[in-house]
Amino acid sequence: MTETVEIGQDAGHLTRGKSWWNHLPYRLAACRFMPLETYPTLVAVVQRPLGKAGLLVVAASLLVQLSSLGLPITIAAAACAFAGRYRSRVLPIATLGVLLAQPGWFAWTTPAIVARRDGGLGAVDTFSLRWNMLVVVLSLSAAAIHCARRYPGALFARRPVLSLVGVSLVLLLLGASGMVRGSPEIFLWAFLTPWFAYLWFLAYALADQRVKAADPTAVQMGTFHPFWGSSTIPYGKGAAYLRKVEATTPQDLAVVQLKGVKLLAWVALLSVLWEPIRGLAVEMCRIPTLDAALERQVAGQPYPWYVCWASTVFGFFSYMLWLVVSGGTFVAAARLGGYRLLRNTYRPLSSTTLAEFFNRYYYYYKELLVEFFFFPTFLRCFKRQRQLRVLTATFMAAGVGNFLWHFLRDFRYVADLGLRRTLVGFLPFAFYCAVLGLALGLSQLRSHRRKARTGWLRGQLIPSLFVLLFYCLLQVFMNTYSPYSLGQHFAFVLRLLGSDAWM
Amino acid sequence: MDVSERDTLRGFIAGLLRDRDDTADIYASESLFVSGRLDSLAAVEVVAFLEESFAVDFAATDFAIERIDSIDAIATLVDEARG
Repeated sequence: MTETVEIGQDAGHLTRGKSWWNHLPYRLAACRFMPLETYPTLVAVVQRPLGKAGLLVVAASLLVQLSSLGLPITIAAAACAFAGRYRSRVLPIATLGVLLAQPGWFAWTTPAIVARRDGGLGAVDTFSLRWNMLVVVLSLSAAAIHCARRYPGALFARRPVLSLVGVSLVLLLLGASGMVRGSPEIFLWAFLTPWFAYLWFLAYALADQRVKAADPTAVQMGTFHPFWGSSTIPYGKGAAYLRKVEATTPQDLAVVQLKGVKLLAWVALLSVLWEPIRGLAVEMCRIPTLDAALERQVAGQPYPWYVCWASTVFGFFSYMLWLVVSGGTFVAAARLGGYRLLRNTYRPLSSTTLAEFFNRYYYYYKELLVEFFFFPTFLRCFKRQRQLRVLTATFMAAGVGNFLWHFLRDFRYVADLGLRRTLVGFLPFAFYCAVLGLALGLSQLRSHRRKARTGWLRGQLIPSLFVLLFYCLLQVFMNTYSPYSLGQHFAFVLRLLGSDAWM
Repeated sequence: MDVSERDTLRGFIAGLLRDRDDTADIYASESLFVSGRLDSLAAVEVVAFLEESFAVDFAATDFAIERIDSIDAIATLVDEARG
């Protein structure tokens, strides 16, 4: 039985009593891009065979513009979508199919770097090594999932992230220690390559074993870099989450698929619109990349302050657009397959607090940090001191978790440069994580004391600009491994803030 | 969880949604977090509310956001926590 309650306040409270002109920003913000899923006739049409085929043709034509695997992904999505109640069983097959089409979805460069350095490349068959290690890692993962279900009291079943990160760091230290040499060293780095690519998928799968009716191991494996794509961040989390967002009726499926096509159209449109802007910025205005601007400053030939600002702002928006397009493509492909995933990036520019921006611009990464670092801390530490509790948990997620995730993702630096040099190179990024963790913690505490809105200018525009300025400046420290010192990064920020004028 | 406790919980959830300009109806079985109506920042507030109002010790439970994903799910969690 369902029950309802009227929440009461109407949405017009933001604009009540103001002129049409004052309403405009809110009206613009409320605009929806092609609300296809709200047209009953269209929803009915895409439930018919011809409509289904038409929708897939449109989706495929958009996907091939956005992904090199557009066609295999469309086929996999169609197989999943129309499998009905067997969707979760078809998912592993669809994922395997796309994996076979692109087995090297993650970089295989690390073992080659180590082999070349040790002069052992000729002794190693890199093609078979890749496949063997992929099979080893996936088999180990399947065994771990099975054991977590069989032995729920074991440490790795109760604290999967702690166990996986611990094992990963031990293996990384072993590789960096120099205790393993020759072929075993190459094998170790070759193992770590798919291991780190699939690490967080395995973490979700192990965490899923705690739910009452966990899916079979094969279904869990289908969520490991699923057919719709992902980075090493699982878009769509694990099987338990996917089960909750699965379309259950033909009408539900039609709505989800239409939302998928709409999202594909949106990201394709953004890609097309961005191209002339990028051309104008890079080719006509010759705005350098942030790295190039930093390099010139370190070399003692800095660009003028306004060029540095231009490269910082352009770099920030380029990165955000890349997130919107890549994340949007993954989510749209999942929706085509019948999974109602939330968008990865949702109106980040409208954020009025730092925490809101972090929540809106990279949803699945934020979810990973929240689930694996924030809540385990929040539920255990400083339970009687609310502010300290929120600050500590947020720092553990956005600071410590953020650093660990990137350090493990970019393990190739350890193989290439050694542990000490890598850690030194990560110092600016450690600073980035620490500042972000503290700022987000404070932002969350301030959100609890939210004041009444004071109009669009003071309530929306100025806070949004402040948020963007903060993230824009902080991205100067965002590169994980940097050849420049923390001080050199600071000098660049000071230059942006006008140090030439007042020093 | 009795009727008045359920009403208290529903009022709290309604307040969280209202803070996010969500004034639509709320159903007891309706997803709050997986559907995207509430975010993980709101989950922090829900957890703190349940600890303070219903003495739920989350450190002693297997916490997953799905366990607080609807009013019905929260009611079940509270009942389980009370034994």
